[in-house]
Amino acid sequence: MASILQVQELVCKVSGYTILNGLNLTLEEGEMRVVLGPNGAGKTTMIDMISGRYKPFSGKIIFGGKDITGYPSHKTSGMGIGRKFQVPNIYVSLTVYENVMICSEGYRSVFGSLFHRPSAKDEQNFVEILDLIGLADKAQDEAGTLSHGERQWLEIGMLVSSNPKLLLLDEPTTGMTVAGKAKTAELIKKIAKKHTLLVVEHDMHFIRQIASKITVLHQGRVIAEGAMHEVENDPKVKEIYLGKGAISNA
Amino acid sequence: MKQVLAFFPRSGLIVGAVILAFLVTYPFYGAEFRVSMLGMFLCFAIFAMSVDLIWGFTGILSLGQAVYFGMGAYFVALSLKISYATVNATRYGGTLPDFMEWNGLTELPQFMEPLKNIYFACAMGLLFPLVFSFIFGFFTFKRHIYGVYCAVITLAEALILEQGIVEFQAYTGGFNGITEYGHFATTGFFMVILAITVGVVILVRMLTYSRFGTILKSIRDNEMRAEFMGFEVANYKMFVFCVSSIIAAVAGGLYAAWVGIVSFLDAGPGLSLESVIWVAVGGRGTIIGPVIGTLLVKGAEFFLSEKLQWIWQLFMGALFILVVMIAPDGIVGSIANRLKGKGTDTPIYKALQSFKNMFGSRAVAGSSDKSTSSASDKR
Repeated sequence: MASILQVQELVCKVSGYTILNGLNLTLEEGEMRVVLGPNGAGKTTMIDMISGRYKPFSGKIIFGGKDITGYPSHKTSGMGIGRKFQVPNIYVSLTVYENVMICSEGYRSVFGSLFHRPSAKDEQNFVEILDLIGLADKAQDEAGTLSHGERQWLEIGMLVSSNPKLLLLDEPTTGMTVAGKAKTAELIKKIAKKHTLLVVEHDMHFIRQIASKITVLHQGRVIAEGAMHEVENDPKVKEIYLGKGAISNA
Repeated sequence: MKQVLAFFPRSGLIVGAVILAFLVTYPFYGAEFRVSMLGMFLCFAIFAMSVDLIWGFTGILSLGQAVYFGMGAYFVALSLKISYATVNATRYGGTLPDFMEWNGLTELPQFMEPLKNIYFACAMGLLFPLVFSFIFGFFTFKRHIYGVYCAVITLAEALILEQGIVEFQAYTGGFNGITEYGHFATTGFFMVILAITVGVVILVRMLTYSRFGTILKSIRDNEMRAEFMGFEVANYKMFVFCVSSIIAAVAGGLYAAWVGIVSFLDAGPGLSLESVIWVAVGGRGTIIGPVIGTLLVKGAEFFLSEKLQWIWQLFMGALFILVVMIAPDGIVGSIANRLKGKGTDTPIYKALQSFKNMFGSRAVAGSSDKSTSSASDKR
């Protein structure tokens, strides 16, 4: 399999602080990767760089064989990088259905969208996505009336609707109940069949439910990579989490 | 035709038809002065819709929309004035517009020569706002300036234009504005204004109740999400801003021709702020709301100033405060929310409920407590 995303020696400095310090990461197509790390490790910053929110200080980001370093966010999105925010970012005054509809693939230019009407097949697709995220019976509700967990699912649904090649999920289970987390894990597993995923997460129980390969970040660089049991037994990882107990209790 | 009608809800069509029937027949039985007022209000209503398009749907608050209204108005007024002066000698006996004469010009400036042609002037009246709004949009939206900062820039624009008009009084009429160029307050022209009003309602409705309109609303809701979804927000904003400026210019041109007097006040911050008030009162993001808001506010202004000359402005102020307090979504917005079964926690609903509780039954305090507690339970 070809690698879809390569992050090479990424450095980010903000007012004298080094947030990312030579980060390297390679993602294979169709892979599901979990990125793990203590607070301030640079997980969200890494996602910000890949999705084009901030420009890196130095280093390269190669997506699908193309150098996309420093592209603005609407361009990275157009190339097929979907990004979910830590705090759910949805359109609160639109209905749930409209939220999914608006994000559907293609038609991003002004004049392209002016005369575009979704076809019956598209509409079928939207209904399927609503089924997938479990919000089919709330399709006509205003998104602002949804609960926090439902908003998280809706944002994932919006991203699926845009059919990205790579999905970046920044802590998709923030503020969820245990049942909600289990449901999210199921959802992510289903999505992973079709899309390449990069998930940032804290919750070890949740990671166990979904993970295949884990990357551990610390102080802006990768310190360990591998399957769950490998990472758990890595001495460097243990050192970071020392004082908090073993990693499995984090 | 059917496709156009499909953009409107049935109840809206019925109400719209009733209002339209009233407006179409009014010139035939209404007093001349009232008809001329109504025509002016309709021009303002078109202008208010242009504000609604950018503020209500896209979330760009412009405090300088009258710049584009003024541009349209001044081009038409200048053209009419120049042609009028060549036929009707001024009190000084010349064939120049009077304001040019008393500012020492002896002949029409070269660059104003083409304005003798009213069609050319109309075209310029549309082209100028388009170019200016495009330039403004390019420098503002492409640089991600939004919210209050954007509003301040637009306000500054309006101040600059107002000052410019006053400064260059040899070409613009300055403080006195452009007057006495004959006006077109005929029933026929009233119908033209009415037709354009209806046309703009349909245009804005079709623009906003489509996938494109939903994208505009999504930008209003959450600009960052739209940006990360692959929409280049700046382009959408620029497009809408240009369309809105053209609508404003059309309104200005019609206004100049209908009323027969244009002054710097029609291009300044005063009118811009007023237009925002009309939209807020009517209900932003509702299209027909701004029309109703304009007719109501201007109508109220007109009647109150007739009946209570010395205190009417006080009443107007009170009216605005009242509307904003009890119906923050505006009149039409609040009604629409009620029809959708939403908004049971809005101030107007609560106010009506407490009103009901006060006068509805003579029950002891206990029962009204009960009703309020059950209402809060639901929430």
